Amino acid sequence: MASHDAAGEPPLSSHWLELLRAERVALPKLRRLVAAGCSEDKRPLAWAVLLGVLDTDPSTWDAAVKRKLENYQSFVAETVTAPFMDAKALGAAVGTLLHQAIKLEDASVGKKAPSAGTGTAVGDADDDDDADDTGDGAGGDGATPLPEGGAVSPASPAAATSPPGDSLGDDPASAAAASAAPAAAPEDSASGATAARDSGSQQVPALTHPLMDLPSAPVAAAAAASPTPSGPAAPSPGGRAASAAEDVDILRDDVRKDVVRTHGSLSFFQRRASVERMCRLLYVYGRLNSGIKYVQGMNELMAPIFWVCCNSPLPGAVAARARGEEWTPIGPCPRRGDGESPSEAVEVTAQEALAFFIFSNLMLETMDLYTKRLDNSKAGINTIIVKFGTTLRRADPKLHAHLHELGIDPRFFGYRWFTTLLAREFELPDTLRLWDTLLADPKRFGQLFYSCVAMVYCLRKKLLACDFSRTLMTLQEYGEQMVDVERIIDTAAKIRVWDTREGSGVTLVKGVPTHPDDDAIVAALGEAGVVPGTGGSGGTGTRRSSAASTSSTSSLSLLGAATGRMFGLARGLAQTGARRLSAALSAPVPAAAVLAQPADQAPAAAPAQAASSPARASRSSRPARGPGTMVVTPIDEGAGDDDEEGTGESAEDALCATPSEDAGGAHNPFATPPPSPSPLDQPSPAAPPS
Amino acid sequence: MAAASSSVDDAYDYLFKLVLIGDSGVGKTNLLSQFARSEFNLASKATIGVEFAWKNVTIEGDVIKAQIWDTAGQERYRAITNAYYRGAVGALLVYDIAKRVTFDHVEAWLKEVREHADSKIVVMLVGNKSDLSQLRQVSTDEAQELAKREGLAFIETSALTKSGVDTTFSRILEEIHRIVKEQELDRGDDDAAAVVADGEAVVVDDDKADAKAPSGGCCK
Repeated sequence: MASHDAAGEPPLSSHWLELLRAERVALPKLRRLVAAGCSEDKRPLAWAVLLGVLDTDPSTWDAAVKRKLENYQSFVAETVTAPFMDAKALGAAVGTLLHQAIKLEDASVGKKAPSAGTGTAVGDADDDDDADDTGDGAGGDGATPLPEGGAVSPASPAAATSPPGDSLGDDPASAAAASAAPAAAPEDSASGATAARDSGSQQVPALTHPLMDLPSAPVAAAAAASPTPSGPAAPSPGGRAASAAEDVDILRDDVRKDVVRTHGSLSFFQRRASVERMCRLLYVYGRLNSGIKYVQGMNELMAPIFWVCCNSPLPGAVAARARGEEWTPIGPCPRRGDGESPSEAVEVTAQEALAFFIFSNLMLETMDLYTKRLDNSKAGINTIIVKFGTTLRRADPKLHAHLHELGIDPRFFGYRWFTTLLAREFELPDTLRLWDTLLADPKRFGQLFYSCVAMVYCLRKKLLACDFSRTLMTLQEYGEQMVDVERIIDTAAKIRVWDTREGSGVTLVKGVPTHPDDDAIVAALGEAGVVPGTGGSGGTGTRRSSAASTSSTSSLSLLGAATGRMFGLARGLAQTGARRLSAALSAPVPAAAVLAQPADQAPAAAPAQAASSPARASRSSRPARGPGTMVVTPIDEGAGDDDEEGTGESAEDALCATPSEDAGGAHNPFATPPPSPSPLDQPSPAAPPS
Repeated sequence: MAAASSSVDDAYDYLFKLVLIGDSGVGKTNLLSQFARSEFNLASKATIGVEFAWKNVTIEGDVIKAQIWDTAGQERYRAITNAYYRGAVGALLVYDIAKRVTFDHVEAWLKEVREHADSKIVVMLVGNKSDLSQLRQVSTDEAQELAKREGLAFIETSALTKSGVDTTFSRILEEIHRIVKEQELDRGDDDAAAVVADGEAVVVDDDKADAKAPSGGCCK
């Protein structure tokens, strides 16, 4: 994203101008643009509209955001009684500082040091904000990696003058740092002191640790000023039956514990004000949604949303720009004072409020995955993962069989993939890119499903050569495999298109009304040169379609819809087509390498893709392939060598076999056919205008 | 990724499955990464679901492949992580010495282990973050006492400084190894096989032990 400074803003493309100047944003077109990769300044508006947080009428966006700000402010007022980074929390931060200091001292030991960002503990985040604040919000376009850690090059001063609404100057820490950099250190020490004081009698020495070089003068005053009323006292032993008050404390504590370790390598997330706001967002959500409260993983979902909202213009600003209108910033612009002292609350901003509602709407679609009692229901995580296994089996029987033989239950890695919508697997810029495609999917989250299949598929060669341990490590540390996210998107789209082609004409369309936007993503991907052809509806793909493959592949397209449906429970759709889906799911798997698609079905894409991905190819662990070849992976003759570990791995297999007792629906998808699915195959409607 | 000694870790005499349990935020993941990779990561993220690592160690001439499952600490994931007790021969029950509540939950975790794991599982109580001695909220004596009462091994560690980490793993693995050896000697005793239920301790044939690592740089 370029600077938000009006003069520095890259011109809106004609597509976006057309979109934003219309009375109503055309959703199919928006989907298309977003799926192809949304530039950062458009993401808040795009995600908000796609998730139904904002109406499609751009002229309403400012008013809507103002309303949301007011609502959110009242939520905060009702639920948040004290800063999150209060004394106790900062006590932990002091611990972290200690850790960090020791770590830095130890660096010579030659252990792999975490990225420079770990040098930015929460407590000291303000220190580098002045360098960073003006910088990373404006830190380059979508292709530019996020600044890591505190080592961010100072940015253009222009950013500092950007309109308040556009959040660059929004971070209070920046104001604090810019205007009173020296104040930051006392603040930290104050917090530390408060922490020590607050957390009991024996902690004081922490402050005198030789590795802590904190000035102590302003400590007493700040400590005195610090309210720290609800520094969560440790819940009583056996705190599982905690009182309501204890519940609240636990919630605070749980949220904070994870927020301070969310994207620890990115300084934006380590800033005091960011931590405070992330905590507040998740805490308020947890208070308002007592059925879920806070579940680990929600922090990972919140982070991309929060980042996007805080580092890009508000939707109204972009709309105004498209129309050549003046734009008045919304809401408090906490440039000063915000977060300067531990006793002072970090002000609620429109960006934060927008993030809250985007998150809330996203959670509406994913909360079932976070709900323990639904684990084995049709919408629960176990079922989703079973279906993932089924899809993989259909798409790549050989790989599926290999994983099954090793005893790799997709739950070993799938829980995290699905619950966090892949937010944990990649660097943030890649996550944002991937989320564009996920959110642009009218049948959320069919694309997630295909993306996960594609992720496994993109490593098939390696996986086929790995034993149990390495396979699992590989999949659990997917981000380290250096698979280009664009390649995953390409592959996911191809698998999906293949499905759609083979399936749509057969079953999906018949009797089940398809959403008019259903093809939008396919078209978008086609337009982006990602997938062969366009529209997905025209191709018949009948070349290979035997009866068996027809029936089973049709189920795949249904699956896509089903997934979207599953994730989007609350949609209240008619539930028809259950029989078809269940029949389809139990249909025989085509013996052929189903991914193999004749190259001539996809002639258009090859050049387009080649043109669009040379830069990526170098990052890929494997060279990008044309659509014709990508699928026809010559299945390695060496596959027979898979079981190097022979009995050893078989034993591991046994060890890690899916326990039968833990879930009614939790069969190992690699091991057994999925349970009879429920009526899920209605396509979700497009993101409803709010 | 990759554990240490990846070039030879396909050859082993025994496979022991361990689980790491305890409240969230006590440092389970860093304990594991210190042991398996000699790494400590301040920015370590919350474990969601289950994570896995392994490392080969040698005990009395036997190569042990320690397969370690690191579980999420949060209550919500309990139902999921229960599954991983199955077949485990050892459990490291971790609490944070600087956070009382994590120690208070130890008994609940023990109950959990005893419900879901084999009755003869070797459990070790691990007080982590011993480097934070200034913030200590759980005394060594108190933990020692609990361990004694419950029949657990006990140790304090610092995943940060690595103090005690290797000892922790080698102690529990040695203990398991000892039991397995005893069972081998006692073979025929019905009871004996119980600890090594489901074949989690695997004696690999000589030729298998020589099996080559997979080709093609499958692990880094």
